[in-house]
Amino acid sequence: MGGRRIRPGRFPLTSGESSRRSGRRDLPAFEAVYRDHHRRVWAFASRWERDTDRAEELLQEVFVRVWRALPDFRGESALGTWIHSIAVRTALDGARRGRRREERERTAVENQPVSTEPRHTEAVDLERAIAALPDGQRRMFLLHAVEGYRCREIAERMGVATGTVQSQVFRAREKLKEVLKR
Amino acid sequence: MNRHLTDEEFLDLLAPGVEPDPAAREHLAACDGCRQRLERDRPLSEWVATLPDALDPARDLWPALRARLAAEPVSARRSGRPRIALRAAAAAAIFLLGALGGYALRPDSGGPARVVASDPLSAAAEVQRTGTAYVEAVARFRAIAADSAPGAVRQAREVALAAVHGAAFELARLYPEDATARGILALASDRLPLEETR
Repeated sequence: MGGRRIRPGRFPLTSGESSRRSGRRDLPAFEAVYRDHHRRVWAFASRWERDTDRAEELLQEVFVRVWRALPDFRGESALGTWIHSIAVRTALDGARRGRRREERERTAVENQPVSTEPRHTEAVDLERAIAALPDGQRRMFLLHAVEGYRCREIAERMGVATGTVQSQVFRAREKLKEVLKR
Repeated sequence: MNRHLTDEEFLDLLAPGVEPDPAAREHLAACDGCRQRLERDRPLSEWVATLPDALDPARDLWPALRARLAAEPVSARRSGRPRIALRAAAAAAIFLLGALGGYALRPDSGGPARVVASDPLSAAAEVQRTGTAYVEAVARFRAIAADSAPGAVRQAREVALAAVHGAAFELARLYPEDATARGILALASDRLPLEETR
């Protein structure tokens, strides 16, 4: 998944000049794109948003943006990579809009210990431990440790100071290291 | 590098896929303290690396998405025509304003030289030069507008705004999160494909 490279003009949604001129779009072809790529987007969205409804909204918003932008996709990157970049950007747009709300939440819960109660005593659930991090901290950690963004890039994209990202990522790592020790 | 790794350098070393700074890597090879610090964090990074890249949602989300897509309005922007028109308008604005002001965009007239930027600083300098030329051109336009035909002035104003719009559009493509660029675009039009991400 994600490694398929689409050449310009080869993608089924853009190859039909007549449907393009008439403005009609090819939903079955887009469903194929969705089926190929939605699991990776869901992995990101469900970690970004703790709440399932909001994760579903995020996934839907990502693919609406993909749908709108796909006719102009020129295949300069792998389709999966391109879709994932839209997912990150969409999530960040939403995060910026909701930052005030998240700041309140972070202030309230930032210093609370992570719930480290594992589902099974032998199997510590990393997903669950990450999900227990406060929203802002979890998102910065995900962008850094899972998506591979530098702190400076995260700060730029989230509109915060680099030092804020560093401290939040460090705090997240310290909490998760505690989970890992158990 | 004689100093220890900064927090930023340290975290960069832990981000997957991030190419480490050569100086940091060199320091790491020579410094037991920084290397041990990194090793203490390595198990967590390895653990995080086991997270699956793909997960299945609990239910099929396609039907809801399909319904939303089917209701999407079809607009001309999908064909890319507005972008082309916008760029043409921006180019026309520069040309027209230059002509209105008797201002030719040549190095010997004080206008911006045509520079092919090869690095961010020279690209930024080129943008700055062009921006200065644009402001000067608008000032010249203002100076002669009172004595010009209203229709021509209105047309020139439209292309001048299109140039601003075009610049904001390109900036928003580069930094989609930039609130100023998005604000200009939102004020000017709701037709531009901000979702484009290349």
